[in-house]
Amino acid sequence: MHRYRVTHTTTYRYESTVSSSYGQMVMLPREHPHQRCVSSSVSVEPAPTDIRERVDFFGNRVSYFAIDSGHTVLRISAVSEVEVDDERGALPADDSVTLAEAVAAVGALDGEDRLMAAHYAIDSPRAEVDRLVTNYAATIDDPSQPVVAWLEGLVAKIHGDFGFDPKATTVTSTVGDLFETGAGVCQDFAHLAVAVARAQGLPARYVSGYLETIPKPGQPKLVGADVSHAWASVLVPHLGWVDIDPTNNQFVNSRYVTTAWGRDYGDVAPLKGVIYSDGGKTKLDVSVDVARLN
Amino acid sequence: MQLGPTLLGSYAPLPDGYDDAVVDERFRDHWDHVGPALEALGVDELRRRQVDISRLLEADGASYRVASSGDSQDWELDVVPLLISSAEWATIEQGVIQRAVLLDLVLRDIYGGQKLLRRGIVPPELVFEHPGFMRACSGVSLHDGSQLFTYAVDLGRDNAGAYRVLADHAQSPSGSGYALANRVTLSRVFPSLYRDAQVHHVAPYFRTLRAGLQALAAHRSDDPRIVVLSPGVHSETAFEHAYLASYLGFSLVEGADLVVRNGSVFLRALGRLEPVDVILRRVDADYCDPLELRPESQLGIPGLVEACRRGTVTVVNTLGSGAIENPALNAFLPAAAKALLGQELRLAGVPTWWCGHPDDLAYVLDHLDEVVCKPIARGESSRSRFGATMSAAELDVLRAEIVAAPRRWVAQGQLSLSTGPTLTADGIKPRRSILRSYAVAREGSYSVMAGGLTRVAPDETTMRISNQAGAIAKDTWVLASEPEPQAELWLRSNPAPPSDIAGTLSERAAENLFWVGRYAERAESMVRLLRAVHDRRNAQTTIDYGEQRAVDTLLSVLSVASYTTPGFLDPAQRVDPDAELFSLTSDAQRAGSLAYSVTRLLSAADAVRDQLSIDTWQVTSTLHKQLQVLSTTPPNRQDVVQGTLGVIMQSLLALHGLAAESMVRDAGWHFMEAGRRIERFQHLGLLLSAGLDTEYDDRTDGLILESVLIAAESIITYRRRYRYQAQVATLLDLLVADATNPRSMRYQIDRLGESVQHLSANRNSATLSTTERQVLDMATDIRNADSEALASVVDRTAVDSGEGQRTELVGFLNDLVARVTLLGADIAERNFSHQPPQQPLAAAGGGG
Repeated sequence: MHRYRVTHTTTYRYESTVSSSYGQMVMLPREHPHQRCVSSSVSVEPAPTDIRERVDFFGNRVSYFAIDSGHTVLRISAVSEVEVDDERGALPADDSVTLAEAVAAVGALDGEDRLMAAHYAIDSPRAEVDRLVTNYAATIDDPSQPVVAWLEGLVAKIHGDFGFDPKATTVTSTVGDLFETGAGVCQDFAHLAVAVARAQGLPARYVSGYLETIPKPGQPKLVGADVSHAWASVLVPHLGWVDIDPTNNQFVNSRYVTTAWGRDYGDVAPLKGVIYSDGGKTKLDVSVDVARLN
Repeated sequence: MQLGPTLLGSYAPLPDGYDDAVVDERFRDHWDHVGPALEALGVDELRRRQVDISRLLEADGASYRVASSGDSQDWELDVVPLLISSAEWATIEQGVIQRAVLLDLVLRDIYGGQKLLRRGIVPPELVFEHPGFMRACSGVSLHDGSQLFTYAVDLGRDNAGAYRVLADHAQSPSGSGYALANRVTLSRVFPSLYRDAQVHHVAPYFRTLRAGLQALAAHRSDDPRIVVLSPGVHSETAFEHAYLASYLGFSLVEGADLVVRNGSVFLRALGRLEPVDVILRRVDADYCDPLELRPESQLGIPGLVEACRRGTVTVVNTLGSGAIENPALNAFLPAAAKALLGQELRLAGVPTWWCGHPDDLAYVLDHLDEVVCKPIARGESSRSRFGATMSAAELDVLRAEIVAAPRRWVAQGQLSLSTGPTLTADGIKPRRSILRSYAVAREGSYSVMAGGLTRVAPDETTMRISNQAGAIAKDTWVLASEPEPQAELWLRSNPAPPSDIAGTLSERAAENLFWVGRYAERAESMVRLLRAVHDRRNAQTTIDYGEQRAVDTLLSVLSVASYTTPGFLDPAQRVDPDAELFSLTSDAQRAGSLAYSVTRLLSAADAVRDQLSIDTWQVTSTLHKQLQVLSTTPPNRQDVVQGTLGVIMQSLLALHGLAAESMVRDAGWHFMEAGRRIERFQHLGLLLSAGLDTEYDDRTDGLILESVLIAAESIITYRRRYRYQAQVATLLDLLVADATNPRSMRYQIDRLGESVQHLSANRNSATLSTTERQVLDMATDIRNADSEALASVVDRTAVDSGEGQRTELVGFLNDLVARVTLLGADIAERNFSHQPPQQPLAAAGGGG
């Protein structure tokens, strides 16, 4: 079992006073069969006049806060301790179910399973299955291939085809934007993987979370230098949801901490908000630390 | 009843179609009273009444804004009503109620247990794919668990005359206010015909709506505050929002008027926050909360969804209601009706194929040239594609669009639609129509408006009927089988104590009323000055030193008082003043011009329409028309310009009269009054300081003083009181110091003092406010001023022509003007807290 403490702090420093702020954060980890949340808390400075946590449509933990008084600094911090099972991501060694069989099995789902699948089978705003996506999916379309091998091929292809460049895209970018720039970040690669899986007929969701980074040999791990991460999760009926990470060209394992999932980034943006201000510059600092506790 | 020769004798329904009024060259039975009555009037008389209709609607300011151009177009109503027999109505009413009940259950299910989806009665993808399905609002319902509060349905008739459902509206159904305006108008044009025809009233629907809104918050408050949330004056249906709000007696608000605090919604009232219990929204759901929904929306209230979730406020229709506007749902409603109600649908829909289903998709692609295709989502590209009228190339494009995203497309069979007699340029002709029927939740079921909004195609061939496409309206007369008792909005069984809650003024409304007062007065002063200049110039017969000086002085006053200096202060401009005069009259883009002041007056009045009486709307409507005249009249048509000035003056006086005699003296009135008094004080000060700054010879001074008195609307009083040639000292007595002259500075400051006191008293402060003290100081200075002394101090050192400068007077007046200007700014600053702009919180990117 892997035990982590994740600390995610976002600080806004405003040039001119903000008279009030409303925010919504999706930063506290949800539970799933291979992950338990031992403790978690959020803190907001200045002290909000209203703060409340709820569970959203997708089962994620969402916090709402409102600040009514003027402020020039807004700091939002989420700290949580989670346990991830070692078996996380383990797949049967010699799985022979083909892509075609998996797609057929999705079509045969009924009742509760069909309903759950339907949420993630349809298009979503940032991961539209358009002609570009369909064409991209067609290049690795081999129905007789085992579905697990197809997923491996999918992450390898995205990893190989697109460069990593934080300046190439923004948080509002879509799959279409990624094709245009040819480079992006985890969010963009996850969106593309989600769209390709859907194009193929497999429901897929976008997952936000964290990845424990391993320092280069001989170098100490720097606190706060980690980043939030995102990947895709694909429904393969006989295996369940299979999490794949195109950014790192691998399947998700016990070094990944899951925060939330939805149809795409829009459903699980870690932090969004509305402020009232006369403008001026904003300085934004994000610090993420994923500390292994055992 | 055989068709007569005068009117309908030439009326021929379309071949193979169903006509609402005529069959086999005879009126249908339910037209047996109205048909012959219209026939007896004859086409010429109907045309005359059609003109009356236009005039009445125009006077009410009834308009519809066309989304594509942003232009406002007059609401058009046909003189011939649509008649529905009592038996037909029973079928429609039962059908609409059943459908509303069913759709409410569908909404409850898709935002709740999702049994329909789980059992495959409705395909889940069909629901999830539709943008009206609001995941953020899952679990939000009305306090009794229901979802659908108001509902509207578009109905059309098939060839056999049976009503079928064309579309469902649940986002924020529009048009009921127009239906009301139609009824008010047509019943005024045909008073006796309307009375004798035994037509069901539409008022009970609005009474039920009002009671229903109150009941929505009954679990929270005995006297709930209800507001109508509008996108603002630029919305397509802004007229209706204000019309409904004032008819129902609720405050009309915009998103910025509301704020969420501690999870509850409040109205930004004057100096305080007032809790809001119910929001009747006319803003589309996804624009209602920039925090959780569309981040770029400036029409919503951040935190509103959270407040709904907590149940501290009730928003109707619920934010998720738009999910049933999905036209593809129609294909699955018969099965849903069986599953949820154990009933067959009373009102059939048109045949519907959802392209997300492979069999349906195949059928649609095979029959593309027969069906009507459209995206399931309402939006810019959601217009219907009529396959029968498309070319092969167009059909190919459509086919490709559908295949690319089949789940987002729906196809429907084309309904022929019935026709009805309609007054056209070519006489009475058959025109296709659709009926929008309205329902509101009432005690576990629904109550349907006995009537509705009928819209008619603009010509014989058009199948698409919408206001955006130029449709005109018909009043819908549902005939009662027996006379109906008068029903008014206000009749209620147990009288409740009067509520001051409805009268709560938002800061925005108060500010707009303040500016209504200011711009109305500014425009009025400007008209008076322009006329004084005009008259003085017309009186000028020969080139005469005195008359020329008088004209020059007035021209200078005009530039000073309209804050457009240098203007006529530059002697070169006075040589040929026509161009500048025209600009100061007609250039609506130029701050200080008459047209500019009237434009600003109208936009401030538009923003507070719900606060103003219907009579006031008629006045503003006239002003709108006069502005158009000004903007299109060339400079050489002084006759037209002067005539327009006259009408504008009458309208401004009417506005003033309505404010004086038809408005209660609440905070809103006092803001308007304060605005007017500040403006008139300012204007008088500038008129006197710029008009009297120079002493000439007696004759010239006499001419100037006369014009100043005319511009200050005090010439008659002056002549009656002082029976000798005008003198500066006595003129100052009348226009500065006289407490009884409504045109004196003293009078303005006294009235301003009263309003400021009223507005301060509102704030529960025992001591004098700074504003009150400032007013008091100015009043004291005016009382203590010595007119003789001010008039007699003349500085003759500066000029050699015998002219002198009244420096003391000018200093005294300019100081007062500066103080009242500051006072105006101070009132605005203290009372109207401007929110800084709403912005999205910068997103933290940079994920790995």
